[in-house]
Amino acid sequence: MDIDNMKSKTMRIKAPEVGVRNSEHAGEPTQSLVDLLKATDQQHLKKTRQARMFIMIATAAFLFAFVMTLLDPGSDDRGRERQMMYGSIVLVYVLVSIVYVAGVRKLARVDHAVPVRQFLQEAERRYRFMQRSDWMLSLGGLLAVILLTTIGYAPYLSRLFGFGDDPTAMYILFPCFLIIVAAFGFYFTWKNWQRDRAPLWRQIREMQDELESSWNDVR
Amino acid sequence: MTRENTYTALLEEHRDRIYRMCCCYVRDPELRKDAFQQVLIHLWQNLDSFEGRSQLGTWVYRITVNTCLGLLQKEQRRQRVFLPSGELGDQLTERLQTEESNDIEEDLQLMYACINDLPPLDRTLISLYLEDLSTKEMAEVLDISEANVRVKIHRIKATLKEAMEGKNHGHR
Repeated sequence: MDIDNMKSKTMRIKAPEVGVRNSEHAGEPTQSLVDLLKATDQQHLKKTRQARMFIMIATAAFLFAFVMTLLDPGSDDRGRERQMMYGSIVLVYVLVSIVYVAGVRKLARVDHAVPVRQFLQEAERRYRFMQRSDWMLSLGGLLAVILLTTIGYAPYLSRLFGFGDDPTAMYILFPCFLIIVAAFGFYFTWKNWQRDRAPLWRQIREMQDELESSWNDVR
Repeated sequence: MTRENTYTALLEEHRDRIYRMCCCYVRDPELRKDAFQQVLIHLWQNLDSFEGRSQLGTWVYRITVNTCLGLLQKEQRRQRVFLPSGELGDQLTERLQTEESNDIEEDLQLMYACINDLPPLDRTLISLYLEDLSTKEMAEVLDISEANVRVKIHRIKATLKEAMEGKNHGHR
């Protein structure tokens, strides 16, 4: 039994017909498939537009609230405090939205038309636990969130927890609290990665090694 | 030529090749059809990215191979094979139906069973070899050197021959 002798035989294998259930082109398999693909593209586009619209409306609402506090800080002496709280919420929201949208875009951009070597490299990057850019984005984002929320909320929280009008203690305690929360978040993200993505990542690495090792054998 | 026409023409020309390549990755006929459908979906989704820098055939083979490798990775993780992932895949699988018009001959089934036992990249190379691609074309699909392809193919053929003979004797 030789593989070369089997070559011509394999050419007799024909692909199954692909059709779509309940399609108006049910008798024309390829056309019904094209119709379905187009319809699904439209659906996907609609969902993307809806998500974009939601983000824009939410941003506008936050900005509106912020601008309102700027224009009318209120008659009491807490006006500036409210401005800082709203301001920090808006900035944190915008920051999180940017990171989220960038992450979704990155995941959605899988190019299947590239050579296998490149496909594996990109897959390895996608499934790796935190790329360098992720580290920079996470740590930078965390720092920004800590700074903004501490500045925005420390005076309010200081009074809420009975520390009085001097927020110095809260400037220390609140960042500590946020760092602990972030550490838990990091731990559970890592656990999830270990469970869901690490096996896949290891397989990809093995395939890359396989590709590289055969290359080295030749050299 | 519209996008739909291009796709239809592409499918008419390459569908059998794509399906045969799927045979090298998936043993189960039902799951193989799922893999085949997933490749068709990816061809549609990537249609705009074809820039003519490579030949259309090479482009189709890359998408087929990358899709099958991606599905293999997920299959190995989930221990269940080849349901297209994601919302689009789920929706399409629900509504698509494939009708297999032919059964694969017994000796070919044996060959594919042996191919299915190979490591993923060896399956890729042999699936391209069976489609009669030149060494240069195979090297382009994988982005490795032609010399590397030749060495690998030689090794895989020897491994496969041994495996097929072993299975054949066991069969009798």
